[in-house]
Amino acid sequence: MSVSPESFKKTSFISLARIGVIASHTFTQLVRMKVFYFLIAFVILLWGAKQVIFQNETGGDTSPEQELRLIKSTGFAAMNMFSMLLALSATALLIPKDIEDRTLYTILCKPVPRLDYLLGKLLGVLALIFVSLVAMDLVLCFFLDQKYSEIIDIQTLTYTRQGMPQDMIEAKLANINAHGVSINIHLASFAIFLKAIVIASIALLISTFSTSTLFTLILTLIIIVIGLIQSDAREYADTMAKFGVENQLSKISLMVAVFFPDLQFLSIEDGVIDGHAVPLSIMGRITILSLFYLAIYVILSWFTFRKKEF
Amino acid sequence: MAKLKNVIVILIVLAITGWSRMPIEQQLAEDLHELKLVPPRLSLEDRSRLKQKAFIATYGSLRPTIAAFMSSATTRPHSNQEWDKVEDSFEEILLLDPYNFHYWDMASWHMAYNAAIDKKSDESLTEVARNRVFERYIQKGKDIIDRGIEINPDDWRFQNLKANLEGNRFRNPDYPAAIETHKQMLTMPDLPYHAVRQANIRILFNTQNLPERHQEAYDIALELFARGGQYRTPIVLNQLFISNYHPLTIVESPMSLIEIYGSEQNALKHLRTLWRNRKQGPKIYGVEKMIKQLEKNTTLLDKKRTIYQNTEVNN
Repeated sequence: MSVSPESFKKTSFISLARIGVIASHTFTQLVRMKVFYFLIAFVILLWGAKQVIFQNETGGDTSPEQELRLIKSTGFAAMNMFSMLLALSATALLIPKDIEDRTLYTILCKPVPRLDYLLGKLLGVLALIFVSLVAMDLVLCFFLDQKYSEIIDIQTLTYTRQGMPQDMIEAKLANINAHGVSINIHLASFAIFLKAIVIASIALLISTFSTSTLFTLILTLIIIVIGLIQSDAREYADTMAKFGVENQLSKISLMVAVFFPDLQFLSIEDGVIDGHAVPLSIMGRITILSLFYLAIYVILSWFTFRKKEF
Repeated sequence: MAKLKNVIVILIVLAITGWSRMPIEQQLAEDLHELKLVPPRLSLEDRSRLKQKAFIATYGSLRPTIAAFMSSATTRPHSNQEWDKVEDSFEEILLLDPYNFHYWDMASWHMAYNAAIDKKSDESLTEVARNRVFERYIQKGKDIIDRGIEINPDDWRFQNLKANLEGNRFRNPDYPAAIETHKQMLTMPDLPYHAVRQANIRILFNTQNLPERHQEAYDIALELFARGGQYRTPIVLNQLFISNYHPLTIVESPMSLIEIYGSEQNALKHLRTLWRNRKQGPKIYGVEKMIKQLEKNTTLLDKKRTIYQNTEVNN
């Protein structure tokens, strides 16, 4: 039997086509797990938030924007939770499930570089999270816009009946307007996606050397918790260093700041809930930093996975 | 051995990349705080106060939802006049949602208005104790607003809230302080027109309540009147009228009643209101005489009895 010279062609280190195939397979596999049912829960949650009406207790200036804030807050909280759970569980399950189904052996015995496999799997999970977040973002905007229109109609009528001067009415409506649907809502949703990217890449790194899914989940959760207070540790270490003080706590804070990711800078949805605008320059810096985390964790995942025996 | 090598390499890479990203992250964090895109840092004391909620406060997004429901839950202690509970709840709410003006407004209102007046009428306390507690709660309200200003220095509404409380005649007023706070507010950039107008009128109102500053009150009223339009409110018009009759105020070119009020009917309407509320404000000059004079003109009178006659009967 003769072997054609093409068979000996060296497999390229990275192939977008291969990654795409693995990613689409992973995406389909996850979709079949009926993960999109959570969207029903999301719609019910936002519908409930839309029904809430805050009474004006002070009897003075009304704050109709509170109701819009509640919808945004509930929506973003649910988006954060769903995307984190998906990033965490789907990524932690990736390799163990492939081992259990013996798919991993079928893939790795073919000329598929392990980096392609990891990237494909991760991109499949991220695609699922992206689609989910786009859907949730649209649902959030729909309910927000509905409530916004209701509030604007009621408040315009109320202010006019109260005999307010036109400039005052306009200023008050502008306050409400800052809480309506805008590009900032989509930017905040994108920041949540970036947070999910970082979490998924951490989970991927841990799953490459972890011995069980449970261990991956617990360790990733611990890192997320530390990541959320990492900025406080960095701040403390930075302040101590400026004053030239070195104590046990400052050393620990420095270690935390160096070894753990900062997830706080990805929580810009808080500002959007408060009605603040997100400058595109800030969004760019956040995206670059998140992709930097992704690159580091993927490289480290590949490093531990490259010679792993199954 | 291979595993140990892997762990060492991972730690080295994390240390190098972590060290290199630290200054970038620090700068980004500072910019985000400046733009108020992330919540302010919590001190250790604040964290221990919030207990389990501290994690939620750190995680974000849920903070406003929890704050909103906690705020709704204060209705019960509010109804039961349990002011310590209301205060504790709002301390936590303000930590959870510190950029939300509404909660600062509510918290200071509960303390300086509801709690203060409730304690003022608490018959279980002695007169001295009642007054002391009344003052303490007003001060609590002021302290809350001051903390709000510290966290939100660019929001004019906090300065406005503070000045309105300082100038409230039923809350141990400090008119000079209220004037200063409003003047400080007017130096803030990008103030909406209605806020500028209201602040200027409040400055006049507070100055009116300081008898020794009668000349300043007149000068302010004259300046606001000259601005025309929505500045010609009853406070401004009445001040111009009173100044004409004030024995010490120097009025270089006194304005006639019609120049001030536009018509006699309008003058009668505003002067009657001023007369009705005369006990709440400073001494008013020339009003009683002018009302009597205007009421002689029966075409200006409505079907009801005159306000002047009403108040005379009541007195």
